Amino acid sequence: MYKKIIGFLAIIFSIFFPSTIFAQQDFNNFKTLVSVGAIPKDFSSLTYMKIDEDLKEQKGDLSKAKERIFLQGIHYGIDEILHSGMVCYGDEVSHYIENVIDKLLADDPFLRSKLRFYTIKSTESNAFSTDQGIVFVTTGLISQLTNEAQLALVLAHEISHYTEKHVVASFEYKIENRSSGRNIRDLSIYSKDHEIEADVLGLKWYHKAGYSKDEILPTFDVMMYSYLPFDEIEFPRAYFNTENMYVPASVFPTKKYEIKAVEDYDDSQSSHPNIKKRKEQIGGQIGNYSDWGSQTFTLGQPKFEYIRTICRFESVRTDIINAKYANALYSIFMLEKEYPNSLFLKRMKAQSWLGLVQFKKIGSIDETVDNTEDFEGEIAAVHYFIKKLSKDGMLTLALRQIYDLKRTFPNDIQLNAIYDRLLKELATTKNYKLEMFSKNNFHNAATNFTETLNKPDLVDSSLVKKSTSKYDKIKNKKNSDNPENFDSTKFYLYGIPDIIADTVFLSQFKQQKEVAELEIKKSEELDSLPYRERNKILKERKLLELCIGVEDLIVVEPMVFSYRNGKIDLVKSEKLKHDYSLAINNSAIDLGLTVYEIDRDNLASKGTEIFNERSTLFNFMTQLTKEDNLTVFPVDFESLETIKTNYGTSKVMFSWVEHEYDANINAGTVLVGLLFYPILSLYIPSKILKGNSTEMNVIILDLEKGNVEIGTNYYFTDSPKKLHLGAHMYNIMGKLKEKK
Amino acid sequence: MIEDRNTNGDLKIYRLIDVSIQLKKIVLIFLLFFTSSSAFAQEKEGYFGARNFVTVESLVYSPLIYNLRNDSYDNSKYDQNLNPASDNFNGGFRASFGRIIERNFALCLEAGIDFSNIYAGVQQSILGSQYLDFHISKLNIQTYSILPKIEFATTNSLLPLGFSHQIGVGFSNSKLVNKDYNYISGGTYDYYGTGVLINNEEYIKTHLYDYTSAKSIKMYTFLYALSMRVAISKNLLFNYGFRYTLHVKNDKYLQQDSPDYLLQLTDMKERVCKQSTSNLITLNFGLTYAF
Repeated sequence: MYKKIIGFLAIIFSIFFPSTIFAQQDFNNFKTLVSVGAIPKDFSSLTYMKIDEDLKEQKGDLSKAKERIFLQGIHYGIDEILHSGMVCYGDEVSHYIENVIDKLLADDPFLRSKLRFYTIKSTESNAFSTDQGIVFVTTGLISQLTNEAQLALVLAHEISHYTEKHVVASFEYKIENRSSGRNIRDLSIYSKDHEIEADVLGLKWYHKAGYSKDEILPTFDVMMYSYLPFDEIEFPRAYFNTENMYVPASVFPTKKYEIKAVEDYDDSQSSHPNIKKRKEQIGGQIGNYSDWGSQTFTLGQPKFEYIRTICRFESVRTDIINAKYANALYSIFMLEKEYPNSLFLKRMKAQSWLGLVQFKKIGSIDETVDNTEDFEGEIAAVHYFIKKLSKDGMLTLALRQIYDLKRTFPNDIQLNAIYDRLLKELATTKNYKLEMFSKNNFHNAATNFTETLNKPDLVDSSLVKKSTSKYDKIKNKKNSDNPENFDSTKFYLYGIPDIIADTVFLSQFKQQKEVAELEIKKSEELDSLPYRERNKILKERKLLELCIGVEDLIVVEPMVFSYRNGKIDLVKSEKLKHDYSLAINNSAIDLGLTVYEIDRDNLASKGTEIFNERSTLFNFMTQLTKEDNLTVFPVDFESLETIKTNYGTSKVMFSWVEHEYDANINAGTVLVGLLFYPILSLYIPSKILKGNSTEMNVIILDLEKGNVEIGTNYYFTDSPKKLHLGAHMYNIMGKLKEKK
Repeated sequence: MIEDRNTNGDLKIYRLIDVSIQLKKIVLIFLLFFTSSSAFAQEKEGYFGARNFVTVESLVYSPLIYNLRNDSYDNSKYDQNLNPASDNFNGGFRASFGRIIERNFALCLEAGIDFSNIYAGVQQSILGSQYLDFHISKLNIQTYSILPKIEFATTNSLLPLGFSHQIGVGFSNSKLVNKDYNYISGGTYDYYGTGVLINNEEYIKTHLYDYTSAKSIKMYTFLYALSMRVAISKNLLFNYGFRYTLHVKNDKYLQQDSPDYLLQLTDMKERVCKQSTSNLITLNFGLTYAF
């Protein structure tokens, strides 16, 4: 009886256990992947500790000195990825990957115990392993795959890299051949040999796990086309059409852009052999195994498709972080086919349009779309359309889209916030006036125009003023409601008749316009002041800029980059970073400021929640750094709101320090100085004393407003000692505490 | 100021007037200093909130160029000859008070004392109808200086921390240290060169120089310094750097040389100026207390 109860509980547990770890994603309310469970040591240990620990083991035939160089390079490189904010552990995707690995390595528990798998949120299609036994898989790769077997083949390949110690071998090869004059071509050949070896060895595990041999060669096709979106669906020319907005098909490309990828590409400079060679190599190996299995899904097709959908949703978010709005819109279009009511997709769509408006306004739209020569496949239609769209067209289409989305979800805070931001963008756009828009939609305006052509008498006399003067004639030509002026290339002028009739919108727009005009007026008044007076005001503003009256502050771990001979000294940087963190804390204590540290140094004690918050904040920073002149809307708006609520403050401080010592003594000046003694006596001391160059950058984010409240930097010629950094931070924090 | 040496009383009065003028200047400098400080008081920033700092430092320099051009003799004799000895290091002390106006700008007032040596060499003096030849060891000079200076950084430094430039203009007052200098008397010759050697050591001893305070050498002092301060604690900083000082004769205080003394003030002034100018660069190090 007792055993029966235990058995029953075990069944119940096995059924419900996964759902206790992960709440099943509701794609209509998709939430980005977050890390789950206890924080792995890979994330919580400090880099130099990892290096010291690994130094205890011998790496190949490397001497201790070379081993240290190798470990420094590899660990700092890996940790940069681990702490980029894009990596998750214990999440559904990582968990799924581990389940596939369990199948692959069912007969090798020792090897299995050595490996860890983490997911990188990236649209890049990639997987790679490290010498430490970490295997990274990108969401971009999974979103491209057709089935579990393909994933298993990729993972088996990566495991082979680990077991064969290819990373160390490549390092040794580079070191040994550094002075022998061998070029990148030789290194490339060496690397290709590793790839072929990994393909061949990986096949062993793949076969043993019972996967189908029919999925081996198609996996290479997946890799070849993985630079394209996760699906290839024709983009409908009427996609942006709504009841009131008509986008003519003529604004889309008339031709198809062919997909250029070929199997037999030139791989002479590549680390991987071309697909044709790999297919040939592995194809030759397939026959070496008999009794092939037939499995395509060992964990079930629905599970795979569920995981793949998560990754595809992630690709939308990642594209928005990277300001690849055209890609995001195409992915949204494809995902909407299955999830037409997804609020997540609606939000991302609104955000993409807002981003496009912002980039268009500053003349950087090309950063959001591909170059014309890179256009390939169906997605090219979206890139083409966005590239060709005029500024007014972009702004109006964005208004149309976001206005409609807001109307569909009137209570959604995020959509409302995006809408408000859009209104500001419209109001601050010079010459963007609502008067230029027609009260008729495209269809009606076109009909009126056609009728006017056929029956000129039908023209509404109230719309066409009698041309009594030159000015009346000009005004008449500008009146989009005049049927005679109908212009199909300016389709957007007929796209918002309902919006310009919406009194709430008009009032909001007017209000924003007044604020914008007041700012312009203030700026003009300042410009008109005499130089000294203007300078004084600007100086005062600069001094008061930091005075925002904060009592509580979230401090995200600072970064320190210490350069030596133009290269980052990683060990020194990490130690300085530790000092800098302490300096920030001490300054806060001295000033009575409450700071909440979201710092890598505290991950071991504070755990996964902090790690996720840190990732969210890093992702927002990544968004902001895409374009210095823009404050883009945060992709994780909701998560940022949660952070704000958790800490009771909306102010977040990011800071980083860059330092280099370079006396930069010019030999020519020294020679001149030898002839003219006073020059030398001034030149050399000045250069020696001023050799330190330190730059401290501080950014204060306001989570509530979703923008950068303060962005300031200080350049000084001190060395970056703890007390020095502390003194500057004390000064900054002191000001932050003051009120304007 | 023309010195009337006929009566001791008059001399004292002139001396007092001179001191009074100097004091007025110093008071004026202080007044200017604090007035300008308070005018900018709203924008004060400093190292860990400190608004003021005091610096004490020592100065070292090697008068290499001066040595190249002049022979220097130690203040000791060997076989009735003066010992040749190079004058390797001179030095001094400085104390200054600084007030921070902006994070990278401060006003300071500096006072200091320098110890240096000048070479007087072979002297020939006319005593009535006779020449007097004598050879004297290096002469010790004490120079007192006071100067207001500005301290600034072209970067966003947080004074007094870090690298800064200093520019100052002030006054200095050099004096020959009253002590027994060694010399070799070459004897006294009559006007007509009869070559009769008369030893007149006692005369040289009592008539070497007029040590009265009025006989000080007044100069304008111009300073440019490169300074680096490294933090030791939240209040204390170690500072080091290089100073470039230029002394310019102040002829306003030209005093009439007394024919009764062997070393003439005008000559001494030239020598002090030359010495200080040819030793342009000075290394300094010390401590700064910020409060």
